[in-house]
Amino acid sequence: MAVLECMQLTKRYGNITALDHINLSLEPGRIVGLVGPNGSGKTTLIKLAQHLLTPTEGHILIGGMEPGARTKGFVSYLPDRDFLPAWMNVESMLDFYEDFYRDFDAGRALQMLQALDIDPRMAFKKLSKGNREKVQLIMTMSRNAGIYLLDEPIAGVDPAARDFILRTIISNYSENALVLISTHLIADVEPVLDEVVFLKQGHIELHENVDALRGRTGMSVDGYFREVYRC
Amino acid sequence: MLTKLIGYEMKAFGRIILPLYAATIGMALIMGLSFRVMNDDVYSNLWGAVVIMIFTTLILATMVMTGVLCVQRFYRNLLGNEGYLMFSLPVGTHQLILAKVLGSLIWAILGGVAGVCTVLALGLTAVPLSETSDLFKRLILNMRLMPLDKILGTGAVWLLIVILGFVATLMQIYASLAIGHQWMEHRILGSVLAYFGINLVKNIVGGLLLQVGYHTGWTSIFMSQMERGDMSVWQVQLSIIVSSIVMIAIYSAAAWFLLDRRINLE
Amino acid sequence: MKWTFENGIPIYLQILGRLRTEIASGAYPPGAKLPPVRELALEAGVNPNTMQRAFSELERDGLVYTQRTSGRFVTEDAEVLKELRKNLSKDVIEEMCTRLMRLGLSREEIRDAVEAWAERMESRKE
Repeated sequence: MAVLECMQLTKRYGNITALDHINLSLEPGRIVGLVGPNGSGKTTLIKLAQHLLTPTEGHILIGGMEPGARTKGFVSYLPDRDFLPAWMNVESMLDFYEDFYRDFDAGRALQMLQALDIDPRMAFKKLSKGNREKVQLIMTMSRNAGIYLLDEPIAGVDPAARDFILRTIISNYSENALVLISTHLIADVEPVLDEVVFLKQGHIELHENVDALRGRTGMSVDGYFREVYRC
Repeated sequence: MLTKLIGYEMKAFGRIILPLYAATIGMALIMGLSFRVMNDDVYSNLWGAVVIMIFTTLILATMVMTGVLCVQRFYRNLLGNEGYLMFSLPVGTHQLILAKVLGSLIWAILGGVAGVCTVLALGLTAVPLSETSDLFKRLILNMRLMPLDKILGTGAVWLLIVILGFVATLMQIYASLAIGHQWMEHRILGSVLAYFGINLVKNIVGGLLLQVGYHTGWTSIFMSQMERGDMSVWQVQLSIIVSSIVMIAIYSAAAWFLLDRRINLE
Repeated sequence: MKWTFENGIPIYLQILGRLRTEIASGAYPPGAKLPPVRELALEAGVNPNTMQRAFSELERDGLVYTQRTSGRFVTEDAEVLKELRKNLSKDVIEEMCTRLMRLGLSREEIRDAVEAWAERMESRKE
């Protein structure tokens, strides 16, 4: 059964249509790449799934429910922004997550954070940008969630950080969860994906199994999109 | 969940406000002791002036900081980047707003308590203990003669009015911030304009209601009472309380709708 | 060894090819326990489902068997392993011969060259 379902989902900002009547159904147990050029509607779709935006038309269902307080209990979301309060630190953030998320595994988070050698009492504002991003990823992936929504987790990072991020995702997601990774860097995430959803100008151009696409076209997914859609 | 959210407001305010309370009360103690041992010479006067200046600055800083935090905790924690964290929690939007209001209210009340503590600290150190106990004895004697239950009752009603006024003002600011947030740019300017806009609407609606009341005659009872000057206190109190509650309800509904249905974090 | 993938070929097929070679070469000797899917997926930097698919394929070919509680093991069946080597070598030989023929060598010349190479390796060992 689908855990994330869009029916005629539409979002307009004034005159601009970010998503145009899309239909999409995603199953649990898969890692799905939400790819497409900048401005194609990836972030809009993820924000709609987390009730950070409301649809102009149509519906989006998370585990059969409209997004809201209840769905947020089993959706783990990594925005493309730095959301850590500057005055808090790793220690207080672990408490915060443990207070609010029943599926949070503090032990696992602590273990990963210790491996990074981040001082748990150092205020977030004193951490480097790279370390703050890693803390955010670790907090997100330390929940035993049903759905992970990861918005551009590898944008603007060096190859070592990219490997760290992808490994953290693969080694931590719960087996029956849906992982939705949005990115405009297809080549970097291609090996970890089961499926790919390609968005362009608010439309779904393609939704296919990655290995099937590679076998069918004789190209990498990245190469295919470059050739067919010139992006 | 609401108590946990309020708990985080306690921490966020406390790390800034509690040191200010401590400094103010500490300064009150120093000031009180200074007054007791001071002579009337140049150095003492200079010292006294400096102490008073620091003390008033601290009191002002505490009050301003409390006000700033009441607004900033809403603006930064919900409408800024931290909003991505807060709006992802498995709690309703009404709980997020309520936590900010109640957290601010608690700190306003704590500010009052800290003020009383400051006065006590100043009094106990400035005046010799024997005189203080005399004062208290006389105070208690006087209180026995007064109708205490009536005083407490009136006090409670005025306290309620002050609290409702505080909440109404705060909710008006929150609603204005939520309105300003609807624009993609110049959000602070939008919020300020929204605040004055609400005031304008409030005045117009108030004026219209008076006009309507005047013409239909249902305010005439009050009018004649006012003219005769025998409008009772409880009628004034009740009308303030009712209008505050109505305003709070309108602002809350607006803030909730804008945050729950029209949120657009940067 | 680092895992790299070529474009245009399903990733599970590339993983499958590599695991077959490792079993044939004895990098995973007969009866050896294979690492868990997630661990190997992590090492290769691929999706665990993709790794799982390659494992299932190995199982279907009889190269690997599962013991319910203790994990996956390489088969100890010598016949199956021999068959695997034969199959894998077919591709290698085909590729080599094609290239040599393109260089203009005849069948006899290729056979002689292979024999000469084998003898040289023999003498080096001594």
